[in-house]
Amino acid sequence: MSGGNRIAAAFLALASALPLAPAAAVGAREFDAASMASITARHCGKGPFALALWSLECPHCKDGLKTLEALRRQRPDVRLVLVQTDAAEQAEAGEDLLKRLGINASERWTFADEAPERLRYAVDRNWAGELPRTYLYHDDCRRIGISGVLKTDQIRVWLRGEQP
Amino acid sequence: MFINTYTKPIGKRLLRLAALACALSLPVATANAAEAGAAMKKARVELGASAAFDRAGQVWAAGKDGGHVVVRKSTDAGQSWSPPSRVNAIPEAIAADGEGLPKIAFGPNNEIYVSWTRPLSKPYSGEIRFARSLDGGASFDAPLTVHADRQEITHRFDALSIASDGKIFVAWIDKRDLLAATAASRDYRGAAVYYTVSADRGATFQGDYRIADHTCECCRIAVSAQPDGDVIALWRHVFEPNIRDHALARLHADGRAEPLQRATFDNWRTDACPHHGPALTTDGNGDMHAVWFTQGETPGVFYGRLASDRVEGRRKLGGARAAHADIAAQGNALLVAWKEFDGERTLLHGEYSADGGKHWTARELAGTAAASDQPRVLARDGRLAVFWNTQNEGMRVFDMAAGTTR
Repeated sequence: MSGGNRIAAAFLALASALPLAPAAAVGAREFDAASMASITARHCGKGPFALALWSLECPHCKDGLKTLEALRRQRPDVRLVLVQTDAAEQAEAGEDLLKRLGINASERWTFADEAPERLRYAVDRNWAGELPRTYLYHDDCRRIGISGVLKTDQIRVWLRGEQP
Repeated sequence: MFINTYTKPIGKRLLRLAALACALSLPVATANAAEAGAAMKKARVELGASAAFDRAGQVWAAGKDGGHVVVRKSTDAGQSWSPPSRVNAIPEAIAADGEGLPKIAFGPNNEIYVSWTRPLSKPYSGEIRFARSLDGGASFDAPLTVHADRQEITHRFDALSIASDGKIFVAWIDKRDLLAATAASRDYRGAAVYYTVSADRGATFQGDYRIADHTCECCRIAVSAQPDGDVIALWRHVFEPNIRDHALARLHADGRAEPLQRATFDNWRTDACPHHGPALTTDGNGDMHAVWFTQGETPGVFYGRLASDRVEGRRKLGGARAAHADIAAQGNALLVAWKEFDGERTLLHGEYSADGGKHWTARELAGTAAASDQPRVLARDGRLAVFWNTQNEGMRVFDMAAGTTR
């Protein structure tokens, strides 16, 4: 069996082991306590980068997401990473909401089945969980955490390279 | 299918194979191995539970098991629990996570009252459900919806309080006024808080009484029964323009809610969802003691006595990650509990005062390495205890005053 075939066999075995899984076909990756390091390693220092945490249970998050989408359209160079903080089984509903709102962040994550406080701690040890929560990173990887819907002037100041 | 920007080479190969599998009509859940993990893992455990002492001093807990609210009884102060008894015979959606969880309370003749939020299909929508047992938990009547308004909108975050004369008060967050305002192209800050009252041991409810407009959307409401039959509610409000401090109001059983009073003064301006509601208790002198969370002028979780236009004795509980405090009183005794993540474990902290909050004794009561519910402080007939439901250890009860873990 060639390597490719072995992978194919493995994949098919995996697929058949997931008879109940198609409904959970998600584009969001599982965010665990180690994910934060890989996200920042990949994105910070490579241009403006915003990490935004949101939840289905948060009415203000919709406005926050729309603001970020408007920013992304104006500034395609902004790297936008979204993290949904709901329970894992809400990931599909989260994807549906993003689609409905026309949010096009290319990288999306959803909280793993771990104590949420552990995952929040990995993001920011002093973040109490209020949402929406957005981290705006500068080129030197300094960041500022903002709770609540981002304001246009906060974004403008950030893109100028200043502390909002 | 969404294609991950950062798919590794092997992932790309899997993508092609996924396309093949699609062609073969095989169930395809994932585009790469990481997503396979996301699809396979089990749902987050919903630990939302509450507990209460019955008149015999036994502890009863209400939680969720699939589509059922279930109650369990402990006759040995939380060391062991009875098998779960179903409250609702017909399964339905039940909120049991974070700020939304089943509530349990006892009436003067040991009636068991249970309330919960049933999420509906539209986002944020729900209805407030109630069921009772008049035979000591052997059976429960069919649940009813406590509000007359049946729009598929927000009726969530139920709070249950048994008044001193046995009447049942249920309060909740309600968005009917927001929707009416939006339909009329008017601005409306936040949501509203409503209540309803049963004077017949939960057979029927009279209400949809509005307490206040402009409340925060997703924080639990605190309620405290008063000696005169009223109930005082404390909630996170949205004062103009977007100050998310707390307000309280006195609720009468006849549906009259007194005008709200501002209760906390942290000046937290934000358009965010804290998911972090307050707790309230009334001591034997009629003084109100509260615990609450703010990211205002000084961030943190706080304790204070609520005077008519100010907070007295305000002080911070725990450190930067103190969260979800609860409080209860019996006479002059007060018990506060909160949880706090230390980077490795979530710790349960308690503080006890025998003198109405002048002096406090602090103790770390427990810890857990996995997920945990918010702690609840139970009170009845002079007893105070902390109830905590954790993923690894299950439901436990801690008796702070006696200095022992029970």
